Amino acid sequence: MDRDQAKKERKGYPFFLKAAAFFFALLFLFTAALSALAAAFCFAADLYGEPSADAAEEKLLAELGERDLNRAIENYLAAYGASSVMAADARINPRPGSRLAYAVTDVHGGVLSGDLEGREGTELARRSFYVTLPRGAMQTRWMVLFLLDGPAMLDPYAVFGFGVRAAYTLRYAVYAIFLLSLLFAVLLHLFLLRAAGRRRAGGEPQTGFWQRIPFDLLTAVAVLAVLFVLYGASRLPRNAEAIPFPLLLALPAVLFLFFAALWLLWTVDLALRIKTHTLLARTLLYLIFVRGIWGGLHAIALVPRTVLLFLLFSAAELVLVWKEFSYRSYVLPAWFFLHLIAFLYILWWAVSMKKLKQSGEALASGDLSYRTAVSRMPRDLARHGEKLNSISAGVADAVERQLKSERMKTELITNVSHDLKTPLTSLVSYADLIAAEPTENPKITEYAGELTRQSARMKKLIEDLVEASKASSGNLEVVLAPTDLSVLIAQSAAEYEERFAARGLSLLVREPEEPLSVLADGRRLWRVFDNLLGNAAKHAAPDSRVYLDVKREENYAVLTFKNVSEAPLNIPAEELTERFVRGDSARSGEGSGLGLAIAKSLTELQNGFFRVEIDGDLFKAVVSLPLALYFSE
Amino acid sequence: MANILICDDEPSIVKALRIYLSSEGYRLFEAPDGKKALEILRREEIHLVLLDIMMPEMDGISALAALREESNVPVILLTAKSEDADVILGLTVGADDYVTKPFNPAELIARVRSCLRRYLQLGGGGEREGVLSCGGLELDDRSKRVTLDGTQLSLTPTEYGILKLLLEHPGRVFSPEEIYRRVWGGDPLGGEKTVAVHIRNLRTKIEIDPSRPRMLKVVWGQGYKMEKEPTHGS
Repeated sequence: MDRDQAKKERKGYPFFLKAAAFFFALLFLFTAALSALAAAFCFAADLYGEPSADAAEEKLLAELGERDLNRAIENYLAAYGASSVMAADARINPRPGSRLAYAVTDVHGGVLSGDLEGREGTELARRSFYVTLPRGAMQTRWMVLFLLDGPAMLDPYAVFGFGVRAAYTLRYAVYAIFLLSLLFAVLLHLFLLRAAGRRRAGGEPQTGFWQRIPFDLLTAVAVLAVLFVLYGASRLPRNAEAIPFPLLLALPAVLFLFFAALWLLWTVDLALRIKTHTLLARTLLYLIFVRGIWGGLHAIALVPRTVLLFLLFSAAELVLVWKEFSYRSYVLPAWFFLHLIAFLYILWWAVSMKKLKQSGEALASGDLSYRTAVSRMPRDLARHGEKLNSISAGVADAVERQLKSERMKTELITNVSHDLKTPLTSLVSYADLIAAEPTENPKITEYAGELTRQSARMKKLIEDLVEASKASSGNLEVVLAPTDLSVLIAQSAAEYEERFAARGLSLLVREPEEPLSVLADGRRLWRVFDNLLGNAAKHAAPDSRVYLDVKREENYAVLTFKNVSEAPLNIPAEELTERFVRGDSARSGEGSGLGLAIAKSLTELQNGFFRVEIDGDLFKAVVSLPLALYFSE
Repeated sequence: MANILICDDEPSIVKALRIYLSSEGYRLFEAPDGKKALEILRREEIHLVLLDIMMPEMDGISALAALREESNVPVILLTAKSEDADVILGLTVGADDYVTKPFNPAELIARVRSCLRRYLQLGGGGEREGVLSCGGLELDDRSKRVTLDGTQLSLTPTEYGILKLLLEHPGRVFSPEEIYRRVWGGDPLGGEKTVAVHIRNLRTKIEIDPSRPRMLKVVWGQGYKMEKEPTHGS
């Protein structure tokens, strides 16, 4: 399918769909990261070598316990060494709410210090160590790790154990999970990129609020945010002990989600900008340098701008090599002199180019008589100026010839019509004289009558011909002014009252409440009504109704003339408005076949629309005219 | 009877005109071009000139210009040149009336009569108190009489009212609403149709050719007006 069709068939993606995709993308990214970590963990902890989950858990918990105990011992010794035994009572495991507690006992099991504080718990592990007493003697002590009774969530060992078991169970599946999650995450990401900016179906991607912020600014802020968060996170370890365990687990996850979300949003924003071609234009760099400096420069006129730039360059040059001047005395004046010559030359070119620019503008705006003064221009530009002048002259010439040709065409038709009317006058006069002669021969009267009728027809034909020619070539003078439609309709209806009555036709006019005023030429519009009503008078079925409906449609007044034709209408509507085409029934009557063509041209000359519709025997002419909106009564 | 000068280069048209006008009892002079026409005018006492424009030697407009330097005899331009520009030019140079070919013989005769009447009545004519006029149409408000070239017309009171209103403000365009308000009094509310019909009836009575009115003009889409002087029907 071609591009336009493809565009129309592009789907729109409602917001909730994109939000759902975003959510799931984050989810899958998280899962991928988790499974990657799990895989790394499996390797690091060598879970593949373990025969079972229980074995793995036991081994790792033991390692963990040992590490913890060692750390506790270090802390205890540090506190013990710094001051008296009392200080050693300081909390070894200050993590609030944790289910772990330490106790330091002597060889016999008597509790010396720790943070058990009388709480109940099960012993997890113990390790012996030595303290150096104040007078140099060494004493054996035990560091015992207890698991207090309480909710599993606060128990790092349970959580770790759970983690190990989970990792072990999934130690092979982890890879599949990783790949699948990554795949889905990538697919959803791609979907988000594609759906960026498309809210409705069949449209171009649209930018929103965020795209109005300069991209480099946005990126810089995002990067700063990331750095800030990372910095904050890096400062945590010092206070790691004070953070409740669940929070400690959640923190990396939150950070990861934060970074992942930021990444998704940033890439989507970038994609949208690229799709709508607004990437470059909406960056600070562009705004400052291109729009600001470059644009500002170009707001100054050509000649002053050239002078300014040259002075700036010279000043920059001077600043750079200022030091060198002081060594040789002739350098500075020489530099100055050379620059002066360059300056004058460039100025001469700038002034000449300004003159050429003015010529170009004059030519473009239609002033064909403007000629560039090329006498004092550099040779290359002078030649360009001469070419511009000859273009001007050539165009002016062509326009003149075209106008002349148009004028001659109209004059031709008008002159021909004059020449036709002269013999026609004699025809009319003599036919009339014959008819006036007293005679008993009825044939003479009859023939004379026929002559008169046909001459009248010919006269109408010539008049129509001239009118049609002028109207279609636009040579008709049309003076547009606010014209009251109801007045015009009433006047036209009055003109045709007798003719309608003679064939039993009744004219029914339906107008809106508010009076409509159109911007038209009263005389020409009357001719249009004259044509249409005349057609009705000639071709409508006797004793039928002729309808004229007037409606307002936006900024137009729409008039619809309807009548039922006496004889069948078997010509397509478009052809009827062609010149010299008449319905078969009209062939025998008067009329030139130009009526509808003239009506159409006249309507269009007044910036209106004209069309004919045929439905069986129903003839319908629709005339639309612009309303005179900005004129008050 | 009056003397009429026919000036046209088409012999058959001159002949036809001769037949028409002599049967009305006018004395006729003929000239095939502008120069001869001027000669005849200087020699004879002419009361009306029927002048064609497209002629050899000297065309109608130049002849008219020359003629107007010496005399203000009524001139009816009789020509195939029917463009608005031509009409304006002819009337500006000094013609009293403008008839386009082909013409309706009866209409031409009526115009000739009307022109002659006004010209020959010049001595006894002139502005009279309380009389509104336009060309040969006179309305005397004191006696409530309306005459056209001396012949009395019978108008309905409404028609009289409309005619008087328009004659009192020659050249000014009245919308149908205004006419209704002033002549009938009260709100128009669809009175445009009524006014239009009355105007048509009025036109039939006072105009030589109602479909080409020269005095009571329709300003399409705006209203109606009475010209100060009868002008070329459009």
